[in-house]
Amino acid sequence: MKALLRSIVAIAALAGVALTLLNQVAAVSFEQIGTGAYVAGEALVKFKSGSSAQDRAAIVLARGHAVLASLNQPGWVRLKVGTGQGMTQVLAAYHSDSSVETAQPNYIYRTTAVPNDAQYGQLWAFKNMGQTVNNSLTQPPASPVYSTNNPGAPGNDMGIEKAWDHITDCSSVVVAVLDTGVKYDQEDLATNMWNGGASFPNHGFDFVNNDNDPKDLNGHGTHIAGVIGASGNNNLGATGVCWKASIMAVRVLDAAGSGTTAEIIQGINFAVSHGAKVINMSFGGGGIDPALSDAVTNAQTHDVVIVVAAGNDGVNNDLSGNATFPCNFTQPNLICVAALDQSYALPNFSNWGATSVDVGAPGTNILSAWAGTSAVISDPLTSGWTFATTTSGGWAFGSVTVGGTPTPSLLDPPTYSSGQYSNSTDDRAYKAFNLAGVDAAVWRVSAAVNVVSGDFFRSRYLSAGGDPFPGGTLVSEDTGVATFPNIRAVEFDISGCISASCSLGFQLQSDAAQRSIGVAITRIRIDTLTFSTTGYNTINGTSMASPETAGLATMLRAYNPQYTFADVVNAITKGGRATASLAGKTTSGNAIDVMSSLAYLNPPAGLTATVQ
Amino acid sequence: MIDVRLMAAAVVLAVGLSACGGGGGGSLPARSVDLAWEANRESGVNRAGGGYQVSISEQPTIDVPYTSGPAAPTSTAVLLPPGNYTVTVRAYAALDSQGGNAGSLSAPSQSLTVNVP
Repeated sequence: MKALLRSIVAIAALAGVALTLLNQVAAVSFEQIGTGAYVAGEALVKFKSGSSAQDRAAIVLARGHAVLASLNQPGWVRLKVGTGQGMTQVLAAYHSDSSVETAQPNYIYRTTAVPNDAQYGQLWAFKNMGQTVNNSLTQPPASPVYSTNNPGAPGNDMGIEKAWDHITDCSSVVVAVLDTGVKYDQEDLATNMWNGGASFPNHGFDFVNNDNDPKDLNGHGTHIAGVIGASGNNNLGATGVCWKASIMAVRVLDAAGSGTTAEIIQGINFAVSHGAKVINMSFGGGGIDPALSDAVTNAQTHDVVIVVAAGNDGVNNDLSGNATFPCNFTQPNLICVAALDQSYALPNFSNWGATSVDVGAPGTNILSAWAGTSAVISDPLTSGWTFATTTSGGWAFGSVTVGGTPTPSLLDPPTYSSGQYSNSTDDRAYKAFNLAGVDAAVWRVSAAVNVVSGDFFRSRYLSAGGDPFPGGTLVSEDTGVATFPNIRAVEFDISGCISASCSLGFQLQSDAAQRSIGVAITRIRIDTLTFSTTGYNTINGTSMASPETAGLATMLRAYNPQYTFADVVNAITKGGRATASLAGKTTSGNAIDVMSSLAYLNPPAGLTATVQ
Repeated sequence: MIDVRLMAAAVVLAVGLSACGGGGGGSLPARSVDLAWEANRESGVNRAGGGYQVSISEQPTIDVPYTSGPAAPTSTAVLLPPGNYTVTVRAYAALDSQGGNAGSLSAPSQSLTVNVP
């Protein structure tokens, strides 16, 4: 690789000279000797068959050159001609000699850098050949892939293969993944994690549990890390934008994918203070958040680029009701990224915004590392639940209509929604689930909840099984809410309930005052994750488009060590490729293009003149 | 000595004698003008094959290539007859946007109008 890099430098030197000449006096046309790269200071000459070795040596010596080698092809010799003369002049001199049949540069050929990773053919974002992305590596296994524009139009990709001829190693730049953590021992990531020394032996920090083990209990963060920097050309799995990387794992989202301002700002400040120069944040929320904004500004002060996802609601972020943060923050070190599908159309889920979203990047059917094997436990809500009440009525199996479909449900009162729950009651429903052997679990509940103030709807779990009230762990408590006729979806990290008899329960507790129509639980699902070091997943979202861009930012900083955050942002936004689906929907109208950004040059600044 | 610093899109310096239009200065002698700019931070500009092009209205383009050391030169001097000149600088590097070595050229810097009295 070092030899290859030296060759590239030599190529660059010659090409630059040619460029200069063309722009200055047009005295030398590079086209006369071809546009290929060649070895600086060398030429190949073919002498006519009648010339003797002595004649050849004399001709070469007379021009101040030297024979490096005679080639095993009749008449051809490789010459050292030095770099003081232009190649065109050197060749012209030999062409004019009657003993010479022809002369040419010693051209350089090189392989195109394409990694050998097993799943590389599925990575349409890097090389879109019109391939169909399949579900062989989805989680849970065999989950469907995004079907629109799969396959897509060939050529709609990040233009990265050409860039890999010039740089694949971004490990000089620390890139922080603020997410659900990272499965830092995953086979495609283990060698590309940040070295946090003795203080951070697990390559980062966990601000959810406040410890130094940011292991991923969800998979999302591991996927993000893989998009940025899965080890490339290692015969395994996928590759990232960077084949070598220094990925800092900063866990700010729990197993359910939720985090708080407090966790996130600590994560940003940790990354900044520990040397990260690029931060990826593939999450969003709807609130104006001055504390988070301050953390982004702190990153700007420390010359750190932050790349964020536009959001997956399919809405215009520019509209006040749709503003998504951190995307809608206006700090100049922040890049917000929309998703593109395999034909570079805006997928139906991607947010956009002519003033809030900057660029687009591939975001459908993105294959990357995963934290293990995911599975789903769905409860039919028809059996196995224990009901208890201190009055009459209480919980019961029933059915409500959801989206026009009768749906089995847990109801309290049984006459939901025409009746009301009892006063002064304590109604409980619970059921044990076998979670043995899994490493993380998320409890997802869809419910319509109407309880007056002073009455409570609670959710608890108990790993020992049995009635989780009151001894279990409280995960939610509602009072004074009325969602009917809307159904609210919530999710809770219940990794603390992993056992063979994890009991999940609901409680409706009322006082003696007024009542309401109660609760209808229409869906219960448990998502589990079992760790492995060989997990992969193919998923969709602006969450995936963001790390494609963060990987590019990392690569740009590795390639241009003097770059500031502003240089990186310019190179990404202005060096992108104009894309019709992004016109008027992003600030730049561009999809990211790695090679173009790598070649992008900022216009010089600070021009002054002094007349003597 | 007259010092000009670019603060906006174009700064016109008019010192001493009133300027003649667009170069050419009658019988007055040419003056040396020192041009300087901030270094680009792209690695390609600051290594072999990189550098800067200085464009001065009605004058040949001046090449300021990288030669050695950590960075390409960021200044040059030129003799100019009396007159008003528009000056811009572009950065260049060997690498092109297709990954080849056809070269890349930046957009021009903000232009500077220089009056040589």
